[in-house]
Amino acid sequence: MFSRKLLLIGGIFAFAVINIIVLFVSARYVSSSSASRHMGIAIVSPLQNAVTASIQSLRSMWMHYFFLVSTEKENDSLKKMLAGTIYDVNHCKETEISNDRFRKLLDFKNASKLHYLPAGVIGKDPSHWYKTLVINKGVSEGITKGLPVVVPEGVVGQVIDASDHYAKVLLIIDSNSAVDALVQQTRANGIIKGDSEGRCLLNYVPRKEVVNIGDAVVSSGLDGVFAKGLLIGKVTDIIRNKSGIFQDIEVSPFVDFDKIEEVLVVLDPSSQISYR
Amino acid sequence: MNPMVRIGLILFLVIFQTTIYYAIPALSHFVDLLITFVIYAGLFLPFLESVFLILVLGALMDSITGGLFGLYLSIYFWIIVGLRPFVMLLNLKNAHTLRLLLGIAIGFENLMLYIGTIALKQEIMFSSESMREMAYQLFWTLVLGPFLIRLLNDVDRHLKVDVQSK
Repeated sequence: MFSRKLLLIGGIFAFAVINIIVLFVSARYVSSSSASRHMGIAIVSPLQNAVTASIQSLRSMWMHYFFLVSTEKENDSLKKMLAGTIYDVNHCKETEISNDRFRKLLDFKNASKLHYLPAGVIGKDPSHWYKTLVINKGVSEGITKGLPVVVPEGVVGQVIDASDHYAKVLLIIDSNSAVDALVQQTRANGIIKGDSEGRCLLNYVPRKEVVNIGDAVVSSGLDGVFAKGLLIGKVTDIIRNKSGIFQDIEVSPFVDFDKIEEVLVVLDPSSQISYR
Repeated sequence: MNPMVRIGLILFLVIFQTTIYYAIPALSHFVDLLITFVIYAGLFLPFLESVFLILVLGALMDSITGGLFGLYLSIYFWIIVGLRPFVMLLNLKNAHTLRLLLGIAIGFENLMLYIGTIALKQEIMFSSESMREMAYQLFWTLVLGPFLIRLLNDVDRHLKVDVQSK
C-alpha cells in the first residue's frame, strides 16, 4: 500500500516526535543526578582537572616570574588601598563587638560559623544557553545537591549535581536560577533570576518600594539556601511600568563569571539561620 | 584511524571546548569543534561507526552540561541522520559545501538547545547574548571548520595507509 520510501520518512518523523516528547518528559520528571550522568563526569572531569591544573601552573609561572613590569605600580596602589582597608577593618571589628553586645542584650542566638570548602573550577558549560560550571570537589568531600556556592565578591550559584569527586554548579545568571534577595539600602524584597544575558533581574519588587540605581542587592536568607547578607550585585536599571504592581530591576552581578578560578562551597547552609 | 584513537580524539575535543576555551578567554567564542567533528564523522566515516562515535560524544556532553539529559545525543544523532541523504549528492571537497553544512548544523544545534531551555523553564526567553555568542562561533566555524574537517580526513587517510603498509 505504502512505498518503502514513504514508510522510511514516516518512521523518521515518528522517531523525531517521540524524541521531542521524551526530552520534554525528562525535563520534568528525570533527576539531573542520574548514574549515566555521573559516569560521563567521571570520565571527563579528571582530564578537565589535569588540563586546568597545567594551565594554572603555566599562568602562575608567567605572572610570577616573567610578567613583572606593572608589579611596582600595582604594589604602590595596593599599599594605598591597604591603608584604607585597615581603617575599615578596625571599624568593622568595633561594629562586630557592639553587635555581639546588643545580640546578648536582646537574647538573640549567635550566628553560626559557616564551613566553607574551597574548590577549583575545571570546566564550563559548552553551550551559550546554559550557565553551569564543573568544580573538582564532590560527594566524597561532603558536597551534596543544593549547597550554595560563593566567592568573596558574592554569590556564584548552587550545586545541581554531584558525583564522587566532581560537582556541577548552576550559576545565578542562568535562567533556571532563583535566589531570594534584598536591596541592601531600602530592604525591598524580591527574587533574583538569571536573564541569560550575563545579568540578573530582581523580580517581584512592588512598585511602591524605593530602589535606586547603584544600590547593592544581597541575599535575604529566606530561601533557606544562601545565608543572609551575601553580596549579589548592584542595581543598574529600573523600569517602572505604568501598569502592573511590580517594577523591573536589572542587577549586574559583582562576580565576574568568566574569570572564576576558585569557589567556596558552603557545607552547612541549614545552620545559617541566625535568628531565634 | 583506530576506534580507540577516535574516542581519544572525542575526549580531547570535549576537554578543549569545555576547559581550554574557558581558561583562555580569547577562545571563548571560537570554532565549535564538536559540531565540526560531527560533520566530519557524518560525511567521511561509515554510518554505523559515526553513529557509535556520536552517541559517545553526545553522552559525554550531556553529562557535563546543565541542560536536559539526552539533548546533545539527540542533536548529534539527527545531524548524522540528516547528513546521510546528501553524502552521495554533494561535492565534499568543496569548502563552500562544508560551510553550508556546518552553518545548518550550528543553527540546528542552537535551535534544539533553545528548545531545551524552554522545556526546562516552561517559558519562552530570548537571549541576545546567546545569539551574539552563537554568531561569533558560527563565523569562526565557517572560516576554519572546512580546514579542520579536511585535516581530520587527511590524518585519517594517512593513518590508514600506514596501517595497510605495515
